[in-house]
Amino acid sequence: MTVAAPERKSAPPQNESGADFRPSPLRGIDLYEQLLHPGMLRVGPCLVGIIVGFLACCIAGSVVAKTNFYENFHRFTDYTSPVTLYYPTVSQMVAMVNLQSTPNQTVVIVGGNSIFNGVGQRASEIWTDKLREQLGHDYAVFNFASCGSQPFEGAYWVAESLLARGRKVLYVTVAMPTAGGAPEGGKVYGYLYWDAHEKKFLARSPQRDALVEGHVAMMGDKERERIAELKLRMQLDRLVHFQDLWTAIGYTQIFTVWTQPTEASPFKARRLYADLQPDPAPVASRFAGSPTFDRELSTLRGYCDGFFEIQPTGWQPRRQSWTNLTTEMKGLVPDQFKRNCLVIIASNPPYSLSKITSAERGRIAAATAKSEQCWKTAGYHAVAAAAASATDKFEDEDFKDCWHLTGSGGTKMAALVAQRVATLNQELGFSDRGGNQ
Amino acid sequence: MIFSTYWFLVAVAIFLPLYFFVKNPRVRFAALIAFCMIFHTHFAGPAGVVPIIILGVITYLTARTRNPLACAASIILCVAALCFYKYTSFFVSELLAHIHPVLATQASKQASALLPAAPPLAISFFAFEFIHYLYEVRRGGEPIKNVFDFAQFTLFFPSLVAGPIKRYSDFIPSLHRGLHSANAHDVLHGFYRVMGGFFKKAVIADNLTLYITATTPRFASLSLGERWLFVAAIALRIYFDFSGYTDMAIGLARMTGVRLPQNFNWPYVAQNIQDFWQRWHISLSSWIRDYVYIPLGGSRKGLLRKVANGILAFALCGLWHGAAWNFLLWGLYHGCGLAVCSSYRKVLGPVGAFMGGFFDRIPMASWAVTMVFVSVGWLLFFYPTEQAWSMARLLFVSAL
Repeated sequence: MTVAAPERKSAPPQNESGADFRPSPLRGIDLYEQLLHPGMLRVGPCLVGIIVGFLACCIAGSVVAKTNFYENFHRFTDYTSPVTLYYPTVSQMVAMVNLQSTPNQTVVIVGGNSIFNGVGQRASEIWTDKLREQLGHDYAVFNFASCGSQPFEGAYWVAESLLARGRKVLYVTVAMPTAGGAPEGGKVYGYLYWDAHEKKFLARSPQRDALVEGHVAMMGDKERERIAELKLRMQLDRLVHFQDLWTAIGYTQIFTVWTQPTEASPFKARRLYADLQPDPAPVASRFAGSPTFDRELSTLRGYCDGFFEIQPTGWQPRRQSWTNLTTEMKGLVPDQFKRNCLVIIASNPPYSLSKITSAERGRIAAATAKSEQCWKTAGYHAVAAAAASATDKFEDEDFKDCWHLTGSGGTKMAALVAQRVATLNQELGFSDRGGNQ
Repeated sequence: MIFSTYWFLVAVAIFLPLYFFVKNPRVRFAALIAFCMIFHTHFAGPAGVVPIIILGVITYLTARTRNPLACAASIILCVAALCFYKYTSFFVSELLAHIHPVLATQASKQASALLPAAPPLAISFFAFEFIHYLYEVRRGGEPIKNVFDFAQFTLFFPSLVAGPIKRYSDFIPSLHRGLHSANAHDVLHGFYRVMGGFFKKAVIADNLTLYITATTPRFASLSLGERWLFVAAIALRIYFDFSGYTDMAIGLARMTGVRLPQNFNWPYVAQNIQDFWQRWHISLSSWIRDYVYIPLGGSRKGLLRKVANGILAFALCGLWHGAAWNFLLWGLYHGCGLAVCSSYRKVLGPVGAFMGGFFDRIPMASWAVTMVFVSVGWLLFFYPTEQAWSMARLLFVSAL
């Protein structure tokens, strides 16, 4: 192979006719040549500086990954969640649990969507704080539920990380009647699966790995590329902890990404944002007066679609859909941890149910019962919130909208969950005493 | 953005030390070409690589013959390939569909069977570099003898995706200098430039993108001042995004000891639209000048031809950015702006002379007019034509 350059015979075009938009001579426009101080180009010190700086960042990241910097944590808010491009890491959630609980305590990790996050409840009346009070000092309760999360996303991987390390853990989540999910999560919170997986937090489960591999193989090119990048990012983060470091800086010092909810002060540290939830409207105008009520009602009507079919005898469950859902549920969690998981099936306010047809109400009731059965068949503990308590039923005032609970609803949910958690705690042999009830 | 993917980060972290510590130019050359091929295959996929290889082989062999007719035929082939991959759908759906709907339906079916889901990666850059090469050889330039040199000119990874558009007569000597003498100073200098580019792209441009995306739907509800701020954000966004990417490309090349041409020279301090195009995307504007404007006659055949040539050249420049009406209109908009800018002093007589004198005496006024012109133009670049038009009107009236 020759490496001789060809001689240039033709001069670059310098025709007079090109004078109208001829670029300036390129000399002197390299801003970097002008800006770089000679000291910045002294090779030895600069390379040492770059390497030392990089290593210092890695060490700092590794330290903050084991530090709990969330002061007085009650729940994730819009400002500490992907809604505003803030991505908590599994390491930090695990660190929080480890530093705020003792090995003797049963750790209750609360996962699921905005219902269990406590949307609709003021910071002073979050239902998991009531759950903590009811369970007493034998338990440590952590609310890692996030808006839009599937039942076994995000928070679940924190629970499994702790279970895999021998901690006494119960995972409590909420599910809509036809919700299942994918073991690797969805687009928003799936990063936490790969975070936990690549950092070896999760228990080994060849069955789940195969299932995830199968899911990824069925995805489109773009999605497969996204997952491959995500995996690589987490593999790198395992070594250099840039994600842990940046999340800590974003929470405690300065955030670097503009988002619409934070547009007033986009770069303010996220710890400085208060956990604000508007008070629910009076019951009389809460539902019918809400601009979103019609949309909520149409969602309520629609979420059983595909799970029932019309027969001569009326609407009947579509067997295949429920079988598929049960299969999906079975794959979410390795078998050995399923008995540590409690699924609460969400309910709706009587007012909303009164605004749909009796056939639609019948389908929702049937779906709720069927869903409970499916979760149980798949190996989990499950209970429908609507049917759980005969004496303390959920009323309209317990709901902020078609799904989310108010402070009073949260109190009822806390009571329901506390009772189930205490029973489960005893069944699993975690403690002779199930809290201070 | 390819340079900020984790795959690229890992790949380049493996490749660059290997390249740097191996001092033998031949081994370096082999490593560089292998890396460029892996890079291109990874990001373009087989469907993106094959057309480029075919075009490259034809270009290389044709240039070796030094036959002007063969070179001209290859130039036509490159243009045809670019049109086929990038503009077929636009031609069928936006032009043919209005002229002959039945034929358009048939053509659309044929096209969707033949065309890949997306055009081959960086086909516009490949086509422009090949055309430049063939054109220069046809004019008597020395062709690249070594097939590996040509492969490197084609696939050099820093400039592959978004330029700068290289000239072979500058690139090949620079490549060989880099292979023989890349040193720690180059690496350090390149590193700073990559970091600077990354900051421009990831911190400034990406934040502005988030702001623009979130604000676009409520543009009409903004105050007039906020609307102009929004347009300024668009102008800054495209500058920091593109120049940041270019800085990363130039920095990465510098880390291998190779110097790529500069692409931006403080475009937003330009005093007029001619000045702007001497500072913005320099490698493209000089390409358009050398291979479209001058061959069309440039300014040699009178004022009307000069204006027409400029407008045509800029229409092509607009279309090069994307196959859509808004890009074509953006090019025409700049072509007209350039025509006015270069001729108003002559055409308007004493009024033109007065205006010219005014702008000469008050450069700030000249700058402000240029910036308003350029910034409003970015609306056409960013948004579909109708939306851009209504947004542009809202810059001057409080409500439509």
